[in-house]
Amino acid sequence: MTERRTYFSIAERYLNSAQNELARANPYLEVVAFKFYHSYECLASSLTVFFNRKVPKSHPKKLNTFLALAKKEPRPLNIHNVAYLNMLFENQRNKYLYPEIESTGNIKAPQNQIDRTKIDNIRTQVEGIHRNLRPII
Amino acid sequence: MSLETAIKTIRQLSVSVTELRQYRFNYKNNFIGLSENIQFGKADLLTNSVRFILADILDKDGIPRNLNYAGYFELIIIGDFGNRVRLVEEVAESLTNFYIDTEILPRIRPINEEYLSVNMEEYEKLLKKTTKLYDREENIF
Repeated sequence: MTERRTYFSIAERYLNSAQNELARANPYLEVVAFKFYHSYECLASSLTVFFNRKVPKSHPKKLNTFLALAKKEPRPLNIHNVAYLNMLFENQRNKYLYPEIESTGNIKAPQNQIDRTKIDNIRTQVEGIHRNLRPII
Repeated sequence: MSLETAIKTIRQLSVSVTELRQYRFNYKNNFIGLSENIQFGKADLLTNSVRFILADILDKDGIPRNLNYAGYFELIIIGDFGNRVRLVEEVAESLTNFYIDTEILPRIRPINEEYLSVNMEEYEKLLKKTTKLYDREENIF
């Protein structure tokens, strides 16, 4: 399997796993959110390799590279959507995994970072990016 | 420290975005443009809960640093957010054009103003490295 197909396959496995968890009664939404994030990051990496670029190690650079490449032709993605998800995941990724000490001093657990409306919004957007990248990867 | 004193301190420590004009800095027009858009309501993130928007883009001497090195910067949102649950999402939505143009990722960091005023000492170093993009009570331009 090529590198870009391998990244795409990882993305699909995490996407399927997130969808399966969501179909369960009382799903762990923070776990689902992280799976959608990892799926998204692997979709980003698959497009990066598609353009013969090396996948950066740092998360911000990985996401920035995805945005830069999403602006090039062929352009199967809505770049505003990519920009929004990059910012959202950069800000939220660690909060799906670890307690957050809020600026009020409160400790917020990962399961309190996300609700069903937010997860449905993330799901729609990540599934759209997967659907639009599939024909070219 | 009272909230009023904290607000004065923030204004003293943070550098107005208009001062970026004196530097050779790749993104100065982007930051000035973003500030104008926020100030004049074109970037739809303003509610009365936001008091300041600051960007951590300066070095310890107050000079714009190379943002390409890290690929991101912190965007500090100071205000009284109460139970607002979509703050990060709303800010992200309003920053998409800026981010598409610069390709430098904003890391959004809300800080509650009451907590900041009580803990000002731990934020002073950070505030000195910020440029002020929005001040609810003062027109920057």
